[in-house]
Formats: sequence, C-alpha cells, structure tokens
Amino acid sequence: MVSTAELAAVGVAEVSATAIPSVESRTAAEVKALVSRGALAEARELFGVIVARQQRRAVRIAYHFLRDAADADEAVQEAFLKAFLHIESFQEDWPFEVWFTRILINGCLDRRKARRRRERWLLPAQSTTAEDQIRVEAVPASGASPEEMLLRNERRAQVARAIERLPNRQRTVLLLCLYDERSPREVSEITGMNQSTVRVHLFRAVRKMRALLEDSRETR
Amino acid sequence: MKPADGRHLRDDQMIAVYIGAEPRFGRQDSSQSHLHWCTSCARRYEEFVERMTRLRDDASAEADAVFPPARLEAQRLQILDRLERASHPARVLPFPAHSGQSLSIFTGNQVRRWIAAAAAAGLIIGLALGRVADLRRMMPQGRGVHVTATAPPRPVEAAPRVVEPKLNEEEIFSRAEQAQGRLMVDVLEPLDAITPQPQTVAMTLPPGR
Repeated sequence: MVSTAELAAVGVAEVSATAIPSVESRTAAEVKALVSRGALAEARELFGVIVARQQRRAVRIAYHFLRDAADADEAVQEAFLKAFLHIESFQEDWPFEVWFTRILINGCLDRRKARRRRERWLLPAQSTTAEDQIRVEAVPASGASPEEMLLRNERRAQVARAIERLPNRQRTVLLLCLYDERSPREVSEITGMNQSTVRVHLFRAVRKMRALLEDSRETR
Repeated sequence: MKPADGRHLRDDQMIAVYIGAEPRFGRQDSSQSHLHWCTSCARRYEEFVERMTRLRDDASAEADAVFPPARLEAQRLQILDRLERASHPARVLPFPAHSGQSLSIFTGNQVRRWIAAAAAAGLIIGLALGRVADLRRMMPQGRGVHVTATAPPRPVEAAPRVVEPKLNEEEIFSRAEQAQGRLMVDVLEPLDAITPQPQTVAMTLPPGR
C-alpha cells in the first residue's frame, strides 16, 4: 500500500502525453494496414524493420528480468511473434514501444513464475551457460586489469542479487525506469499501475537498492 | 556552504530529487533548490547520480556482451522465420469427395462388389486372427511348446490312489528296525565270515593266558 507521505516525498505530478506518434508507431500502423489488406509478405518485411530497431532494447530488458540468455532470447522472440500476430489490436495513438514492452514484460513475468514453480519441485536450472558467462566476464576486454575485471564482475553479481531481492513490482519499475529509461507515465501504461504508484515503487526500489549496495560494500 | 536551516538533505530526499529532477520524469522537486546553494549536498547528489548512471551503463554492457551483433542477427532471422510459419498455418488437404470418378475403368457396381469382397475378407482374416490369439493366450507360457488347434489336449490319466493302512507307532518302529537289521546283516556277513569267533580264539590260546 502506498502511503500519502511517500506520495508527497516523490511529488506526484501528471505528465502530459506526447501526441506525436513515434517512428515505430507509424511503422506498426503500416504493418497493421498491410495485414488487414492481406498483404502478409509485405507486412512481415516491414515488421522485420521494427524487429531490427527494437531488438537490442528488448533483449536488454528481457535479460535483466530473467538473468538467463536462453530464456531472454526465447522471451524476445515470442514477444515479437505475439506483437505481429496481434497487430490488429494495436492502437495507433499508443506508442508502439510501450505496447510491445507490455507484451514483453508480461512474457518475462510468466517465465519467472514458471521458473520459480519449476525450481520448487525440481533442481534449479543453470542460470547462464558457460559461454555466456565468459562473454559477460570479458566485457570490456581491453584496458581492464584482471583485478578490475574481477571487482566489476563481483559488483555486477551484487547488483543482480540486489535486484533479484526486490519485490516484483519494484523490480519491474526499477528496470524499466533506470535501465530502459522509461518515464513513470510510460511505465504506468506498460504495467497498468497508476503513475503515483509507479513513482512510489521506484522510490522504494532505489532506496532499497542503495541500502543493499551500501551493505554489500560494507561487508566486502 | 552550510544550509540555512543547518540540515543537509536526507538520502530519501535525494532519491526523491533524483526521481523528480530527471527531465524524463517531468517535474521539479522543491528540494532541488537546496542543491543549488549547498555544495556538500550537491557533491553527494552528483555521486549518487553518477553511481546510478554507472549501474545502468554497466547493465547495458553486460546484456550487450551476452547478445553480440551476430547473435542478434541470428535471433532476427529466427523471428522472421517463425513469423512466416505462423502466417502460413499447416495446409489441410481436402479429402477427395468422389474418389470413384478417378477410377474410370470400374463401374459403380464393380467398385461396390470389390469393397464388399474386401470387407468380407477382412472380417474372415480378423476372425481367424482373433481365434489364433485366443488359443495363444490359453497356451502354457513355456517356449517351444506347440499345440495344434485340432488336437485337443490329452487328459492326464489319474494314478490309482493307494490307500495306506493306518499304522500305529509300534508297527512303524518295528518295521524300521527290521529294515535296519536286514541291511546290517547283509552288509556285515562278509565281514563276519573273515572275523574269528571268540570261542575259536579262546580254544586256540594256551591255558593260563
């Protein structure tokens, strides 16, 4: 439950929506028109352009949500597939990114839920493959000493654990606002929460993250 | 520079400023004015913002490392492939409505006769197989035992039942002793023949011994 004090702390203010549709929204509207005309091959081709432009963003979100490359890959593919198959329900006055992110986030949440259920009954699956782990640990490969790389990887692991410990809503809001740089209004549209709730969750998540990171620094 | 009220911004206030002061969040917090003239809080705030920015950049770098351009391209191709397959659902071949028309060498009656004959043959074969299956099920489990369907199994002749007379304990023991005695005698007879008798030994010994 969101307290009034917290609402006052974060200062709830409505933000006016931008009326100009984004490039993606216009392209998505064209895809929709092509699908409704039955020109599926052209629609697919045009949708491929959206995929190419939104893919990087989508895999970042999915990876931070799921912390598993294979799972994130599958979640992104399914989200794009769903978006295309349900393009007729896309409303042009909505930003495509918001609509698509909503599909992606729902898919990621479902996967997390399924994973938790699986882990309750079975052995937990390997979160990241060895190959992915090597890739992660080698970034950036140039200019960093082994000690620096070790410290950075340790810090990443701490951040990942801290995010993992957040409640679902706080995690979602934090990842979208901080990592994906979405505004509270967009997050509100993606998640279905109202803006004030989004702000409060963001506030709590940042506060908790800060505390968790401070704790980990002290215990190090 | 010391703030007018002698107090610095708390962490909570700073987070609120961070959330509110970001242009994308669309509002200006009143605490922000504090940061303009309090150098200590301004420095703390800068550090905080820097830390959050580093967190974001690092997270992006991590995800980009897991998904290099080659993997993204492979993923894009997979998505397009799945889209194409999803757009073309599996084609269902229509069942030929008038299959008889294509078989022009047969008339309608001939076709019907053939179908009837095939059905009858199928029925007979089915019955025969069913019968064989029943017989097999009735057969003993052992391998290599073949029973012909025509030869009924021979009834096993019942052996005449011997009724043993009731014996009491005495009779049983006496029979046992008899049997034992007979056996003993038979076995010991040759031994007895070569063994000198005590009387014979006594007679051959000199007197006084």
